[in-house]
Parts: sequence; C-alpha cells; structure tokens
Amino acid sequence: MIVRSFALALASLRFRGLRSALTALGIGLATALAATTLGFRVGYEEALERDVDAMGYQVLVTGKGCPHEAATLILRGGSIPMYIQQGVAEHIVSQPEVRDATRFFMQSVSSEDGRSAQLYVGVDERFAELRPGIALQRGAWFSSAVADEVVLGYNVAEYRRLELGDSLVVQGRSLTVRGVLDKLGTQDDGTVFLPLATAQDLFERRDRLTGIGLQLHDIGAAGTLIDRLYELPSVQVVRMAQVQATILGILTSVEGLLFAFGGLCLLVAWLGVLNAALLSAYERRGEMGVLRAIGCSTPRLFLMAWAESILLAAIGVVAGLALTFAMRGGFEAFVRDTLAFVPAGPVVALRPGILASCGMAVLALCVLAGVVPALRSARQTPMTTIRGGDS
Amino acid sequence: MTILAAEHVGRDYPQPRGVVRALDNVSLAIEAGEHVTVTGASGSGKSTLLAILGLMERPTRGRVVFRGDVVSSGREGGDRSVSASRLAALRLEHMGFVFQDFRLLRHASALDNVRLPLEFAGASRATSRVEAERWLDRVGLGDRAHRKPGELSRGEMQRVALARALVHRPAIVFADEPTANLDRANAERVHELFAEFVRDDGLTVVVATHHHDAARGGREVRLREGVVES
Repeated sequence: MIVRSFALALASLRFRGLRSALTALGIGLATALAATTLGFRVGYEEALERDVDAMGYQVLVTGKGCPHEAATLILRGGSIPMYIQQGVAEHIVSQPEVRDATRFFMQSVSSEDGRSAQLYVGVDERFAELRPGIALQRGAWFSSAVADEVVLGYNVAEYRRLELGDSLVVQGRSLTVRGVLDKLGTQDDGTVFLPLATAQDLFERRDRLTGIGLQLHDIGAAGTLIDRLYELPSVQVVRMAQVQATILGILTSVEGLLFAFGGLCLLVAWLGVLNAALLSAYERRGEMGVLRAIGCSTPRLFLMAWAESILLAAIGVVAGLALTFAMRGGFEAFVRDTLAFVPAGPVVALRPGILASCGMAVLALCVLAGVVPALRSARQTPMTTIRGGDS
Repeated sequence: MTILAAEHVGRDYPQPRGVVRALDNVSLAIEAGEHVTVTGASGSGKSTLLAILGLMERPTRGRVVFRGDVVSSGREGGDRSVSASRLAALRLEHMGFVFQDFRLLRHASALDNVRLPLEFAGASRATSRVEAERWLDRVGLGDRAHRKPGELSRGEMQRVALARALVHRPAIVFADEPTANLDRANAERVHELFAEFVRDDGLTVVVATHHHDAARGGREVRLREGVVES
C-alpha cells in the first residue's frame, strides 16, 4: 500500500511538473541557504583558529595603535604604518617569561592597476622554527640574513610560474628564488618571504619591525608580561587568543542575523510546501472524491495525499544538499568581498552533521506542512464526484 | 432475488432560500442481474438516487437495504446506517461506479486507473496488473493500457472507467449519465458493453440518463421532480 501510494504520488508530481519543480527548487534553496549559513559559522571559526595557530606564537607585540587591528592586519596580510624600534625589540625578547621570539617586517605592495596586492614579509632566522607546519616543498631557506633571496608561498610560485633560481624584481631590485613552500591553506600561500634585513632595506625601514611574536615558557604568565610591556611607551601587546575572541565576537554579533536568515529560509520552504499541498488538495477534490467513491479508505487517501508532500520535501532536500556544494564557491567569494576580515582557506564547513541536521529540519518542516492539506483531501466525500468536483 | 432496495427514501438539501427536496418517498427494488435505467429530466433526482443507492450519500428519510441488511437510513425514525468506513468497504467489495465525465486519474495510465479498486482491496501488484489487463482487453483497449487519459479519446476514457468499475467483480454497477459526453458511436459501444456484462456475467446495472431511448433491454424507472412516475 505504501509503495503504491508513493508511486501514484510521484506520477501526480510529474503530471504537475512545473509546479512540482518550482516547489522543490524553493525547498532546495532553503536547505542550501540554511546549510551554508550554519556551515559558515562553523567554518569561519575553524579557519580563524587555523590561522591563529599557524602564527606559531601566543603573544603579539606591535607598534602603538590598536593591537586588535594590528593583529587582524597581520592575520590577513597588510601594511601597518606603526613600527617597533629594533632596540626596543631586544628589550622585549630578553624578558624572563619569553622562551622564543620571531621578529618580522610586513609590507603590502599594490599592483599597478590597484586591483590586487602582494604581501612581502621579512622574517628572522627563528620564523621557520616557530611556525608550526611550515615546510619547504623545494629549495632552501635564505643563505644569509642579508641575502637578496626570497622564499615563495605555494600560490605565488604557481601563479607567477617561478622556479628555483628565477629572478623576482621587488622595488626595482632583483631577488633570487631560493625556496618554495608547501601548500599550507593559510595566508602564507600568497606571501613572499625575505630575510628581515633585506625587507627592511628594500622598503627603507631599517631597524624597524612590524611586530614580534612571542612564545612563552608558561602561558599563565602572559598577564604579568603584558602588564610589564605596556609600560614601554611605543608598543601594544595582545594575546592571540584575545584576537581570536575579538574577531569571533564581531561574528557573534551578526550571528542573530545569520540565524534569522536561516529561519526565514525554513519558513519559505514550509510555506512553499503548504501552498503547493493546499493547492493540490483544492484542485484534486474531484479526484479524491472518485477514490473515495470506489472504496478507498480514509487512511489510504490521507497517505496518498501526504506522500506528495513527503516526496516533494525529499526531492527538494536532496537537490538542496547538492546545491549547497554548488553554491559554496560563490558564497565564499561573496563573504571575502563583503567582510572586513576573512581567514585564509575554506570558511564554509560542509560537515555531514551540518548537512544532515539542515536536511532533516527542512524535511521535517515540509512533511509536517503536508499534514493539514492531506487531511483535507482525505475528508472528501464521494459526493464531491457526483456534484462535479465541489464538495 | 432482490439485491438492493430503496424504501421510502427521501433526500432534502438545505439551501439559503429553504429546503430543496431532491427525492421524495422513492421505493425501488433491484433484482440481481437486472438492468435498470433511471430516466428523467435534468434536476429530477437521478444522480441523487444513484448516490443513495450506491451508498455515497445517506437519505434524509427512508432506508437502503443491501442483500437484506439495512446499510443506510435517514435520521428521521432512527439512523440505522453503518459507519462511513463500512460503507466504503461495501462499495469497494460489491459496487462499481461509472461517471459522466469519466473521472480518471489524469496522471495515471489506463492500466493504473483500472487496477485501483483491486489495490484498495489489497490485491497483489501482479494480480491487479493481470486483472486490469484482462478487463482492458474486454473493453477493447488492451493496446492502450499504458496511455494516460489525456492520450485517449472520450469514448476510450469511458471504457477505461467501465473497466475500472468492473475489475473487482462487483455485484452491481452504477453509471451516472455514462454516455452524455460521448458521440453516438461511442455511446452505442458503451451501451453494448453494459448489455454484454449483464447477459454474460450476470451483472446488475443501474444507469441514470436523461435519454429515454437509452433505456433498452431492461426496466425503466422514470423520475419527475424527485418522485417515481413509473
């Protein structure tokens, strides 16, 4: 009985092909938008955590200014016009809580048309040691602290088609490609690394640093260290965990909006099925009356009508899950164009759990939406048929 | 043997301007294997009588007796009707219906339309298929089994409806204006099929029509303003 009811329901949906397709598309869009919204919340947090972890230090010291802004700029790659003097840096790294430190200088250079920018980062010898997961795919790190050499992020080497020994001209100076990094899925993939002194010289900022990353013996001592460093007149200090929390805090403030959007998607899907099922119930009064007249029981009539909503919901949800993957690239591009800071790598996490929960929520709503119209269909009297379709 | 009887049946329909009396004190006994034609002008109560005899509607007064049991009755004088689900089961087991405008499922093939009563009765998929094909053959549509109603002529659609009414071997078939929407040749074919089923299968047929000439080879019951004339 159940199989035949679904077979007849499928035939009925195919008969009303355009309406069925539009309703299923509505359900699919709702599913895709709900899954993408939820996946974005999870994916963004994970990508940010990945980026912060990839920095390899727990405390960041920058020049005077907003430390969170500076940290965000460092995460996304950009130029910070405030610097730390080299002498101050030596004082900072000599603090007893500091186990290890890396100094860096960062400069972003826009292309001639101004539509893209290339990030150059001058790093000291401790950079590669502290950075977790960083590894050379080919070549080597710099031959000396003042060499005119570069190590390219994976994407830079790919897009510019540069090989070891090739020449890269920066600020009118020719630098030799010494190494190429493995693909890391972080901002480093798009970065050109130089020896710290070379970078400072190239951009005419000798003895200036953009920041210092500090690794501590004990993270519990970070508070004491930060309090002491704040006494220095020209630096700002921030814990990377704080940066992460601040950025997530901003995201949390729009979280309500995101979930309202997701809820709206579900409402649209629910209304779509309710509308289609009610319309179908109205149009098929005569048909249901005939089935009643020839002896179809009320439960079976209900099942036949309800099966249409169930099938529509199932088809819509499956289409929606496929649509979620199809939309992912476009959505990521949209958020990168729209949001001030987006971590590197994928920011929409399409986990089985997220897809399943969104799919099940939409399915349940749509299946429930079909109950009332199905009940109305099942209550048709046989006289509907005799009286020409009007009950 | 009387298979179905209407005893003093009346049916009223409340309307904004008062009650419309569609049937009044109609008594009619139908014998097994009989071919009864109910005739009368439009609005004379033919369809209402068929609906009451076919257990699709309950009378306001009087009662309907099927094979000796009261199955439907008016509330006046005490309602002795069986439940709606029991009436549905009786229709499914013992009755078949043919409607003026065919009333086939537009999205289902002729075969799927015909097998519906068997499926509702719990027949297996294979059984319902074989029986439906057999009845489509009998009405001359064996080669149209997989066509949908939209791909059939009106005459063919009515023959599919006839096969659907007969596939579960009912004791009695009700046909409400079955030829009203057909041309003369197709109408003739449908009448021939009814006559054939009565003659060869011992089927009881009750046909409602406003054509007097359609009452052929059986008893004619004339209705006028809800009352039996003859």
